[in-house]
Order: sequence, then C-alpha cells, then structure tokens
Amino acid sequence: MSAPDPRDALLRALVERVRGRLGSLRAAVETLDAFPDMPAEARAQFQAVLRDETAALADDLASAEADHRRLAGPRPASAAADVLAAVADAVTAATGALVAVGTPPALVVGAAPFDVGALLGALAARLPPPPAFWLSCESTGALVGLDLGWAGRAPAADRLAAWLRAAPMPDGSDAASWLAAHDAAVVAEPDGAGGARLRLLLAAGA
Amino acid sequence: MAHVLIVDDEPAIALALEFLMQQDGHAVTSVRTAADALAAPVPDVVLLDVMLPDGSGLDVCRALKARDAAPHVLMISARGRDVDAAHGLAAGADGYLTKPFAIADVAARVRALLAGDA
Repeated sequence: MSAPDPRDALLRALVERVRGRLGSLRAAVETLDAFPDMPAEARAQFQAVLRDETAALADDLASAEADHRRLAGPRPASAAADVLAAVADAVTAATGALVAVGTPPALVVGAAPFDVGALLGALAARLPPPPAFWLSCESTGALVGLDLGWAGRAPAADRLAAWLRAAPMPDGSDAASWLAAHDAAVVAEPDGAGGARLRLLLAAGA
Repeated sequence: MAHVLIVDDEPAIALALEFLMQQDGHAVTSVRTAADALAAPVPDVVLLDVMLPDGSGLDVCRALKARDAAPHVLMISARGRDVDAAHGLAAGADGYLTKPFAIADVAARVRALLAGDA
C-alpha cells in the first residue's frame, strides 16, 4: 500500500476548514436575515462572527498556500540555453517545423527544460502548421519571458485555455495545472511584426 | 418545549444554533467538548459536531444512543463526503448535515424529529 499523498491530506484539511468557516458565515447571515428584530447585543455578536470568520478564512487560505509551496519543494533551476534547446527539440518533434533559436541570454529559469518543451510542443502541435518557428528568451524582472513565434495568427484566449487543459505533462498533470503550480502563465498574442507568438512567463530561477 | 443539547466547539455555529433553537421555544444547553456532552443531562435532541477537541462526535453519538431514553441525534460536520455521512448514520445518528447548512433546514429537522415522538 502506498503512503498517503501529503497534498491530498492538505486539500482535505483545507476543504474541512473552509466548510467550517462557511458554515459559520452562512449561519450568521441567515440568522441575521431571519430575525431582523433580534436584540442589539445579539446582532453585534453575529456581526462580529462575520468579521472574525472572514478574517480567519483569509488566514486559512494563506496558510494552505504556504503549505502547498512547502510541499512542492524548491523548483528546478535551469539555464535558459537548456530550456530553449529542449523547446526547440520538442516543437520540431511535434510539428516537423524548423525552429530558429535566438542567442540564449545568461538567465536561469525556474522550471525543468523537459517540462517546458512538453508544454510548448503540445501547443505548437495545435497550430496550423507553419514552415518555421522562432524562439527567444528575455528577462522581465522577476520573470523570464520565453517567446515562440510563427508567421500566422494567434489563437483566441478561450481556445488556448482549452488546449492547456488538454495538454498532458510529463508528471501526469495537464498544462493548465502545471502552469498554476509554477506560478506561470502563457498568452497568445500578435508579435507586432505581422506574426504571432506564444509568450510563456516563468519565474526566474534562483 | 424540548431540551436541545448543542455540542460544537465552533463558537459561531453554536451561537447561531442556540439562538435558533431558543426562537423555536426550546430549552438549550450548549457545550464544546465530548466529555461535557456526555456529562450533560440527557436531552430530547442533540445537535452534534463530528470533530470535537477531545474526541469524535461519532463516539459521543454511540454513547448517547446506548442510553435508556436515547435522544435524537442530528450530526453536523464539515466532513462532506458520502462516506462521512454513512459513518454518522452507522453510529446511530438520525440525520447528518454538512456545513455550510441552511439554518431553516436544521430547525425543520429538529421539528420533524420531535414530531416523531408525538
């Protein structure tokens, strides 16, 4: 028998805590509504419940987020050059198209190259096949922006979101979950030069 | 008028249930622990939380139901899975409500349990 996943235990504890808080909030609101003529002292008690439980709920969520980060452990720190190479390989494998890679800057990315390649390879496979892609990377402060461009139109946001939910990742999750777990995001947008790009924003590695 | 025992360590829930039961004309005793629940005079109805600071509400339910003139027990819990409700009913509870619940639902269930005694 495998050991219980601590993330499952964390989720279950959070669900129970939030249910309890919501139970208190709902009971207080419904009691205030049901008994509009209740004595002022009782009313003040229920109003205090609303304030206190709302604050406690916010604390619970912040605590759960911190616990989740602790369980997730440190993120991998990968050289941008390795990430770009992995993405180029994955995109070529998924589409058959050539990928022109820009000169990699001396950046560290907080994600594993294979994962980033899997994500962008899966998205590239959904596009109408262009003859070539181009790939570059730049720092945007605390984040690293990784751009995969092509001559064509950017997919609509809702279509991209559906692709992300359907794209499998090496850890068994989907790309949307992987992005959330890495505090990352991907957008599709015109590149300003008649083409389009997928911009993947990742945390910079330590 | 019935005697209702409220067993919940969440002050906000206990406060709302106390007020609600008093508005329905019942005498109310409110405690926060399993030990105090078992030491209290046997009521007509118990509104019982599952997770108590000194033990399980399921154990309290079994102990109360083993008594002569056992009270009605309505369990209230933040544990919302089907299996949790099954455990509550297996312990002898007459009903199981998951937080967050409608206070009108609690009042209706208490009335229904007491009406069954009439």
